[in-house]
Amino acid sequence: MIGKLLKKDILRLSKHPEGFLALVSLPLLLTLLLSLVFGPGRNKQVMPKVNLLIVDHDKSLASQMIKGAFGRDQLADMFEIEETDEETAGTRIENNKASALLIIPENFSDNLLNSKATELTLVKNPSQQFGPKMAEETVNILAEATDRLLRIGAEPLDLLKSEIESENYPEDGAITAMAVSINQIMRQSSSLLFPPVIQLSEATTETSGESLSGGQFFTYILASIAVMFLFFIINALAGDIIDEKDNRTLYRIIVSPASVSTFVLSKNIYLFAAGCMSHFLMWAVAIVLFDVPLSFSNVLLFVLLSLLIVAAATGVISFLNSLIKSRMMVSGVLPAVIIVLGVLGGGMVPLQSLPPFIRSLSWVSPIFWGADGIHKVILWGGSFSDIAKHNFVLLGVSVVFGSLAILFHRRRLLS
Amino acid sequence: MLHVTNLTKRFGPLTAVDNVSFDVKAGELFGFLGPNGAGKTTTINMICSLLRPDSGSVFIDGQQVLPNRPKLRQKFGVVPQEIALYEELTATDNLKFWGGLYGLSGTALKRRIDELLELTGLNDRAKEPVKRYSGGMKRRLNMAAGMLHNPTLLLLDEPTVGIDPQARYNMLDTIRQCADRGTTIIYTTHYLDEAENLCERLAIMDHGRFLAMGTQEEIRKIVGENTLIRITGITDKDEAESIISTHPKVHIETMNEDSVVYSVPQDVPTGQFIESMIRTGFSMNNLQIKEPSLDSVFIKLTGRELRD
Repeated sequence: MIGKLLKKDILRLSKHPEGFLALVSLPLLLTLLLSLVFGPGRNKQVMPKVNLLIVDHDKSLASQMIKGAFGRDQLADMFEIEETDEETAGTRIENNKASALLIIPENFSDNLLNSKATELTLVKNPSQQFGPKMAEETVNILAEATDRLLRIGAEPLDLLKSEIESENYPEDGAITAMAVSINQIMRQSSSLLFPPVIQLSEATTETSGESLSGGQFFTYILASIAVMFLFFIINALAGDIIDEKDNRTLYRIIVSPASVSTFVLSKNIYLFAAGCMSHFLMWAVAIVLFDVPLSFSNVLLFVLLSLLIVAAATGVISFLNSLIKSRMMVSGVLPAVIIVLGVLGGGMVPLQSLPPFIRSLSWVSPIFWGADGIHKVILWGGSFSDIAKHNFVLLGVSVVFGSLAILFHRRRLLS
Repeated sequence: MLHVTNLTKRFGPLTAVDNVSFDVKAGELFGFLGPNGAGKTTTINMICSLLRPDSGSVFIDGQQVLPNRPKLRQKFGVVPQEIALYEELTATDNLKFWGGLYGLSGTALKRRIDELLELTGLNDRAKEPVKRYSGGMKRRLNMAAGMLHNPTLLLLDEPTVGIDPQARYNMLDTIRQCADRGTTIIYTTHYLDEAENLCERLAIMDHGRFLAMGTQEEIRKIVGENTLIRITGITDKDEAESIISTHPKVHIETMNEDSVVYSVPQDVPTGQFIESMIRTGFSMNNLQIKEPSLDSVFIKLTGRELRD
């Protein structure tokens, strides 16, 4: 009897497999997208440089310092500097060949040394968005820094200026006085300048410093998403129990020699079978197309764990379906419950990114036990003992919730 | 064949079926006639052991249904009021599945499917998904699914609701053929003409109770040879009673809030009685004359028409 009911459901599914296949492909597509955006190798990608033109009317020490700043360290990675004349620069900006033009005026150095107001002109390319903005921010910072340095070093600079203007060689004492003064300034400002107040340190996750390869990163993300989507897929198919009640085919089944318990059991087997089909199909595609590093020695462990994951998902979803009364709730309320389980289990966001409080609750979600088990088997080459706890929990969840589901469904469908 | 005693079912404060008893002989076509909500479907559900009665018992071939449910269900064929089919499957796939539930398989199942597709006139479209069928075709297939395993007791719950007259005629013809082959049939309907044309014996049901039961002849005798005149919209009850004083052979069958039913014997000219009412300025909204029929029986028993 169960075989006939099961055959009927599979036949119905085979008549319209598009929806099912779309659901199976979703986790793959989503994982692929996430891997492309956040996967390894992405940070090595070369960002397009900001093309900054400079017209230097001063050709002095200060203007050299400004130009030199763009050519050093991180700024050199961000900017491509080209010195040119104003006419050429205007044409280049008009033709969208540069992001911005910085004009250093005549007497820039003199004005700085005499504490006279002076200004740098930045002409931005209106047809670009980020390049001109970056140039503006950077020039602002440089202007600010130059101004501060001149204020701090006003005294020795005045001394230097008077010695230059006297057209004599400075005396040894004057040079010593300037050196002492500059030394004091450097010492006073050293706490601000060296070392930098904010340091960027690179942190790694619990992969213990081993960086994940493309396939491993894909697998890490896919495991969590795949387990969560398995719940969605089974839920989409489980709505059929209510459909059969609403369409009165259930009525016809339960007035036949088939009992309600037989019907519910057959539906659970169908959900399990369809869940297995979707789960293994998806992983097969992932292994073939996306370099998922499942070693031959771990295939059996993976299959065992997968069967338990699907069984647990079937039990939980069937139980949740037995509590609700309408098709609208199947597609409205239950996905919200799955999302909560997904968040707790790391299906939406990697667990390491979640607050400790939420991480401490992850054990309540079967999605966590499934995804973590897959990580252990595929990524860290775990043995049976490494996932024994996972298997035990998933088995318990499937037995407890599966039994409750049959009990609750039976009561509700007969009402 | 079927023996039902003191069947009662309550849903909260509502008594859906109230102490109903009846017998149906093997090969008989027995009808339940009553308006929607009369308790016909609830009675059917208790007969086929889907609902547990609060009291009373159902016996089939001497065996009580509830304790012997798995064994006896093989004998039932149920055709529900709604279309209970898988729309994405073809007629053949549907019938294969439903037949399989009753243990049919192989060539026996195939032969039976061919027979029923022929009988219902669906053989040309058997390979099409049911969702492409018209309402009438779905109804016919719905019935075929209930008859597939050659049940000894076929329960048809308003199988002709919502279909066109031609399709309805064809279905009634199919049911007659099925009865002619010796299947015991219980047929529920709220269409008087169906009950009159199809059922050998019937029970008139309202508010969960049997108001009358017997052959059509026996039931018609309840109203005798009298013509019933039903008047609605009366305002003066005394006036309604006073009219009888001038026609001593006429009597009031039932009197409700807004209607009164007079029973007029054959020897009192109906026209004369109506004329005298009009002459006295009798207030009324509507007047109906019912010759002796199942409808007039229903009016006599309930004071209202079946479609009210």
